Amino acid sequence: MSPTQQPIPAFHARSAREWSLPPAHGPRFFLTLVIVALLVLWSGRNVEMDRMLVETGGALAHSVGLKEESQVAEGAGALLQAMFPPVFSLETAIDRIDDFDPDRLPLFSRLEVREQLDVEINYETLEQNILVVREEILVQPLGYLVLVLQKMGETLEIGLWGTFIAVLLSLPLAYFSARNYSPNRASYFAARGTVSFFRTIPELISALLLVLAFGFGPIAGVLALGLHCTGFLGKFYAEDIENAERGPQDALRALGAGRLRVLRVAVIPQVLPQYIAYTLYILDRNVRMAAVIGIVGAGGIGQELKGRYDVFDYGHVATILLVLFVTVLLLDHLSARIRARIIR
Amino acid sequence: MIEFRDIHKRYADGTRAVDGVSLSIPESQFCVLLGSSGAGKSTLLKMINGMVEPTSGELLVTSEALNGKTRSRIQRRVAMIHQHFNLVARLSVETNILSGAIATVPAWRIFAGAYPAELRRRAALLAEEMGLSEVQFHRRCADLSGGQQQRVGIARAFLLQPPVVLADEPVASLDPATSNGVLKALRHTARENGATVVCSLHQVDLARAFADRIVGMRDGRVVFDGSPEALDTTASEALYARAGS
Repeated sequence: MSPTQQPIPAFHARSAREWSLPPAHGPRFFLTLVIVALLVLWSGRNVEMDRMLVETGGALAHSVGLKEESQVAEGAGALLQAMFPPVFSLETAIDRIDDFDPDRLPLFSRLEVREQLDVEINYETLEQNILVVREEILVQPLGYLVLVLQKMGETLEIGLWGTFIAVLLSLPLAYFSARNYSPNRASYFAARGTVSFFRTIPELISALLLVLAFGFGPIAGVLALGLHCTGFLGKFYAEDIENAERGPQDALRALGAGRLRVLRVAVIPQVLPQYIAYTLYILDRNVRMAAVIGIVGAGGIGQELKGRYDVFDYGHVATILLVLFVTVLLLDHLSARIRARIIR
Repeated sequence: MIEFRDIHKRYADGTRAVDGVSLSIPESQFCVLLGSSGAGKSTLLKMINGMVEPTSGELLVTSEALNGKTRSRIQRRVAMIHQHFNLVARLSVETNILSGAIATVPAWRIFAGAYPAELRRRAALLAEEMGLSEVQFHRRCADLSGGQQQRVGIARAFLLQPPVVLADEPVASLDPATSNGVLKALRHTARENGATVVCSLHQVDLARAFADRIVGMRDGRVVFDGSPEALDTTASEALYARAGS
């Protein structure tokens, strides 16, 4: 029998010098520790954590000159080289621009003439003639950056609308999936089931399916993010309702107030700071995820990223990642300020 | 007017909280329930506002039998002051006082947080009466001391001038000066507004000083019922004597 299972001695039964002081950790703790360590080792091997450690170590050793060859270091180095410098300008051949007017160039842009070598084949003699082709190019020095910023704007909007839809759907679902407010067991289980269902389907998968239904564009992205995050917010909101302090609720219920009135006056003010914190986190996450789901055609900067990545335009990819990074940083700063102002 | 007719309450775990209480408390009376912890005082109070249902017996509140059909209507006539204040800490003093009218104000006003102007004025006057300043009136309850929070709780209970006011250990965590103020306010509402005030207390001296009538409880039964003068030392010691001692 462990010391904690022993009957509590009667008051004043013996001096504190004789009280049993069980050790902080018993054999069960150490056994659990060993089991967890074994599981981590076994699972780590399944997901090639051993190879990851060896190759990362090799790359680090290569970077400080301790090892001659490292596939990872060389691959990463080549990629970084291809990504640097990021491409901010947009260059378009004028013969690919409809109704081009050389007298009305876009702001800060210029025309450049470039010569390119081209091969012409005479199909009768099958001779190859090398020609010098002059091409007029419209160069917009910050054109690509502006395009990426526009796409980032669209991504932000997808993230915002996804979050808005998630909040709208989560609020009623949270009410029905809070054990202490749901009108009956059927509504409780139905709401909990719906919330879990939304949470289970990753947004990348639902975006793929929604692209089939709504076509390429932001609708699929907004809905995919909205539905998936309803699964999170619905659960978080409901748990906060369940854990809200009971005293004020009981006090108002005793005055004859119905559930919704009590929820409005005694629960919402209590849970509001947490709700705002969750919602800002989901917004931050949705903006990042909006960039990812764009890859499957659900609009935004992800679509541009995928297009550039597929044609090895790594300089453009670098610009996209840079804009994404700065946006997330700004958003983080903004949400911290909102939190500080609202949550006191 | 509150009337208990052979009221019993047995909880699911078998605890017999109230055991055959018959009691009648008229209007304009400040009745104090005295007794040690577990004597059944809180259960008895919570029966009056329908938060605890008796296992058997009949309970009349404002001369109307309390049951499933009448509960909501009766609850609107009964206000309660709680030992732990039970205020919404993040809400202002004003909104907490106004929440005393939660069941009677139209739903849209509750959801929009737009209480009628005359009710807001009344809340301000009550806050002033309770010794709260204008600055405190607009502060969050969390920023107030325990005594100030209890005054907010009293103002909330008095907002609609209910015919029945209950107070569950309202001075348990307050200093002597604030305790006297709280009990004076309760006695005042009984005498001036004609309310039936039922208050549970631990402190015999406070009960003697403020109550119109003292009901002593022990093990769920009424063991003393009389004027403060009738509660002598022997009777009060018997109330708090430990079982088996």
